[in-house]
Amino acid sequence: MNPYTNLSEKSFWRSAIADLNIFDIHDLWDPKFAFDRHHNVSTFGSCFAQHFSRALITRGYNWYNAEPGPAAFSPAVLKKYGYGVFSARTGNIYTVRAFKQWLMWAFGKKRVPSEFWQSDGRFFDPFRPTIFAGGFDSAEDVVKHRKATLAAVKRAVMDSDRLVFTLGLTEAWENRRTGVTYAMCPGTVAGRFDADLHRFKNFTFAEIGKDLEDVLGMLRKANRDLRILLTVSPVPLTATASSKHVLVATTHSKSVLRAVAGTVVQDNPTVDYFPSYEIVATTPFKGIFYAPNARSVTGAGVDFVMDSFFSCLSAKFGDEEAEEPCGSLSKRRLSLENVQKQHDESDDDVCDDAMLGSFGR
Amino acid sequence: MTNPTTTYAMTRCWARSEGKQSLKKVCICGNSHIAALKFALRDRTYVNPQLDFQFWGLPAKKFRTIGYRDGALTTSDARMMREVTGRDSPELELGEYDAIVFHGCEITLTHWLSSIKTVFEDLSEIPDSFLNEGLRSCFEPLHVSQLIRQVTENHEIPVFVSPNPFVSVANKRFKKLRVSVAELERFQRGIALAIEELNGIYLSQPKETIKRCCFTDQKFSDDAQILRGNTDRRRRKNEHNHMNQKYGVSVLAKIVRHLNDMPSKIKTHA
Repeated sequence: MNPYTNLSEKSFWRSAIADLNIFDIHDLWDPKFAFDRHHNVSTFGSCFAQHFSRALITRGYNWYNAEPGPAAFSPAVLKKYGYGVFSARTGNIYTVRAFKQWLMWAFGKKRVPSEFWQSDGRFFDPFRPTIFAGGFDSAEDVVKHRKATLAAVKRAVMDSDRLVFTLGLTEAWENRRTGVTYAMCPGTVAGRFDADLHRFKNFTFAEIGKDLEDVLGMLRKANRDLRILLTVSPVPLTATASSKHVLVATTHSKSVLRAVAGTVVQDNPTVDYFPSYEIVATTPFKGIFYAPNARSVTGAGVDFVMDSFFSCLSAKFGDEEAEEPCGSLSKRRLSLENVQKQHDESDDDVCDDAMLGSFGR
Repeated sequence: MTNPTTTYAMTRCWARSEGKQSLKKVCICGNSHIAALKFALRDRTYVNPQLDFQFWGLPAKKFRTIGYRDGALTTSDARMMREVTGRDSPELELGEYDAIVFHGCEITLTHWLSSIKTVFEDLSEIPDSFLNEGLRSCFEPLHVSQLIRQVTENHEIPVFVSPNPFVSVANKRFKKLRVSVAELERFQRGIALAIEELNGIYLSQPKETIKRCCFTDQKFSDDAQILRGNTDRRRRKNEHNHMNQKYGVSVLAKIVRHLNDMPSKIKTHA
């Protein structure tokens, strides 16, 4: 007798992976807490977080929009101007530091900077430069709109039952003088790059871990009942400023983020991790959920991830619509051929960092 | 702001008919809101011997059954159309008309304005691009948008578009709505742009009927009549969406002013 003797099938590579059709791989996630249809669920983070909001809405869950736009405007126009993508109009939040920044401003723990960027007579918010297509009319409008979004971030945290945060990147750009972290490198979408003022930052495991603990502390203080779900985006970097090969930089980045998430959720009953990264990016799934560019996640991949999410919840907490063992899709079996045919990228996503690719040769 | 080429073509058409001594024919197409205009003419509250107005309309969702085919407005509910317009034919040949006005047609300005003001205390907070694109997105899905496009693509007559009236001041649902003159102007410009993109001409609600910038004066709402039939069935007292014959007179007068102004407009463009 030894500790391995009575472990379940999922503990062993052969029974859990090697002996199975990839679509029968299951039990990837043992949720710590339920997501009920009456729960307010907020979502923030990198591009991949948008899939959660869409899937929640499609399945009749209560995705919480703390900053809705004019109801009469079409969804397409609202999305173009940053509404209905995340629970507040923060735009993509790629780093934990950036999310911590938003929360510190929203809860009054740090003064909101008055910085704005200007390009061609238009004004942009450095912390969400693509939030208003074409920019704002004035610096005052940048500040006014940011104020409204900060109020929405606060509302989202305080009124939600669940919050999903997708960790995207370790790389970012900072202001040397003020220490603020930008959403994008100045000069890429808007603004002007100044090597004396702006510096590259590749956050370390320790820094991200500290930032995440600070984030969780603020969330807990604001809303004791809030449960947080972390995920790591499986989308590789469009570009790296680390001087390493982008594949190496991506692996480093995702590894650090995955390790931080794993460490933080250990022994923490109010924080959980959902393995969307593992489903899309790891070898057992053979990369079939990536588009030909080996970067974008296909619609089939997004569906598979979200189906896994809901089926694992159903398997553990019960749901009248529960179908399959957690994560597997044998009833709606996707053949390898069908998945590979569905090369459509999930191009509905609002992805600021994707535009960095235009600077490549 | 209307496309100059379109205006020139429409005005030549109108000017040609100006030269004729015969009556000029104007088609007014819409939903239940055309009642105010229809009964103003029927009861001779408004009289213009130079113009022959013909109505083509159906109330509520039935309006969406009005179509366009081969130069004519059509209906799939000839029976109700006969009740409303007195015409037996299920079609109205637009070739016989010198102008067309789409009136009402679910262009619910109060609702759109209110949805914007619910989010933004002051419209100056949002750039023109967002406001105008948003208003276009309100307008595009409407059935009337398709009709306007079809008529302007196939006919050279002026196509006027006149919205639902603002709700009356006594309404409770929107009583907290507050709009400044500057805000209303920006809003109306956005609506005008959306209509001009379809080569239509926007006729905003007559100024004399508006109270507190974004409501209709109550005197234009009391005793509003119901469209169907030729009887004098009145709407209930707490109905604040539909207007009476006095309102109809104001709108008709504005239509006529714009029609009469058309030759002078061409001088500006030339």
